[in-house]
Amino acid sequence: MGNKENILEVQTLSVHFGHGDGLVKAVDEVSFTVGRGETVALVGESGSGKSISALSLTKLAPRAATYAGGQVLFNNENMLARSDRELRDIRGSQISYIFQEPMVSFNPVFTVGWQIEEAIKLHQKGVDRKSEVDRLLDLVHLPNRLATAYPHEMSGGQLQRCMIAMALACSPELLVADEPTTALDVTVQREILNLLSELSEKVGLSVLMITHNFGIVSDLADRVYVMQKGRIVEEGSTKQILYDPQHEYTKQLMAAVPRLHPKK
Amino acid sequence: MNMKQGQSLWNDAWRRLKNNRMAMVCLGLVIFFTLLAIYGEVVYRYHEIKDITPAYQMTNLDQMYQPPGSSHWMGTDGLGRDVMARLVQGVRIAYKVGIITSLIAIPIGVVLGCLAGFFGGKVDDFIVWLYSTFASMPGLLFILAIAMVVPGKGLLGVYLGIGLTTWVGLCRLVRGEVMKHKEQTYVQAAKTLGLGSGRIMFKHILPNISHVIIVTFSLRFPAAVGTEVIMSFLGIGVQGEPSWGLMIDSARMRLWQGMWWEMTFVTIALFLLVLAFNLLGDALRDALDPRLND
Repeated sequence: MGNKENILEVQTLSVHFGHGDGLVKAVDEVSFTVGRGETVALVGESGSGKSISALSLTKLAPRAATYAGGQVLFNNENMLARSDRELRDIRGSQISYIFQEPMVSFNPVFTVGWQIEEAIKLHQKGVDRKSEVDRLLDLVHLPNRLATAYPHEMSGGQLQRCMIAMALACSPELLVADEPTTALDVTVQREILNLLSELSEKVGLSVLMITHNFGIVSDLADRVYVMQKGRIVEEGSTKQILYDPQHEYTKQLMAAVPRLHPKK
Repeated sequence: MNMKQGQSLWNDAWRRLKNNRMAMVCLGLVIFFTLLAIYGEVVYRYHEIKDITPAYQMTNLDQMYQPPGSSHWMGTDGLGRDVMARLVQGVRIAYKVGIITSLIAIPIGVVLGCLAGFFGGKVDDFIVWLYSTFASMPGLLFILAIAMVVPGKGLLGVYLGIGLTTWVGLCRLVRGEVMKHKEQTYVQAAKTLGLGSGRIMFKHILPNISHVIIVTFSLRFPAAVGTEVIMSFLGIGVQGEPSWGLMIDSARMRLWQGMWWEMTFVTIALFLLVLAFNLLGDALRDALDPRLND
């Protein structure tokens, strides 16, 4: 079975949509691991199945999906065999997510402080929620007064920081970051990435980073998996992949990162 | 920006509402009408216990059709009864019908609409079937049937009849709104935090669609008064007690003879009540949406 060093071990996971002739193998026998305290990147173009893989970790893939095979071992326990009730306790408290679009990931009618409190309320009983919110906002370098701001009053970068604060509210062991910087502009991207790597060191967080951008991968990830059409086509340490990509698709993806001074 | 957290949605909504002068005037009117309704109820109960005929029911054939004057500010009707006293008493019935039927219909519509929109599939099919069935039956027949079945005389049958038939429109609206909202990322984000379906539906989605419910509530008043008129006319609604429906109905006959006052004052009262509820509902809707003003 699983390895003690690995917090997450995905073994030949298959997630399918539809059936018969219309069968789509969104995730096709995918295997990957995330070690404790490690940052692992899952790279691929849109539609390659990386987001569905990530959501499947806690069975959050859209209702139409069927989990056709394989297992997801989190701390050596198969998530796919868990009941909805058990999974709800795990979501947020042990596995947290942050999403691509911070602007729409918050409920527009509540202040962000209220929403961070909601996350705390859910998994931690008997803590002072107000001071906990302040602590979390400090952690992501935001002033405490923003707790009373509404999502529409904040910038995308601030919201993504709040999103991270909310995800960290119950000190999860694994953070799944689904394209966390795609909707942000470049300077803000840099800040968020720095924050993530700072936090993974400070809190000992394991991160599964999902992205299509090799520029992010090089800064942050320890290891990389490259996904195409629902399959993993290449894996290795970040260095290895960046300097010596084997698969044609990996080379294409790397070539797709825009450069300021393209080589002639 | 002042520091407060917790019940921020309602606190902030109240703060915004206070700055809206029109809304405050309407709130005052609604409170005024509410007090009148409570006063009406007290007067009714008092006379019922003492077993005496209240002043607004005293027929006085010497004073038929008095135009508005110093002794009767809004004149008298065909039996010499004071229009103003009956008007005040009518608020009570209008409120009872408007509010009690809303208390029955709105929870049914909201809960079923949320369930249908959120879960989809079989649950949705069943609820759509249910409200289609209700919608396909003529409302009045259904109300009559319920009013006949409910034991005892009085308004209970009317409340149940109207309440159990008028949730359909709201249910359909809520279902659509919930379907729209459940696809939004914030709901997905709530799921990844481990929130249960009930909490997502009623604590996170519902405040986002509260405007639908508020507007529905404020629009139900004229409809409820209208229904009450028909039911009184058919003899299963209010009997004996002055209601706006009965007053409009009887004043209609004499309008062409120049007895304008009963009709005028009742419709003005109805107009003010409906206007106040609608404007207040609108303002509340705006106040509950933090994106609109601040």
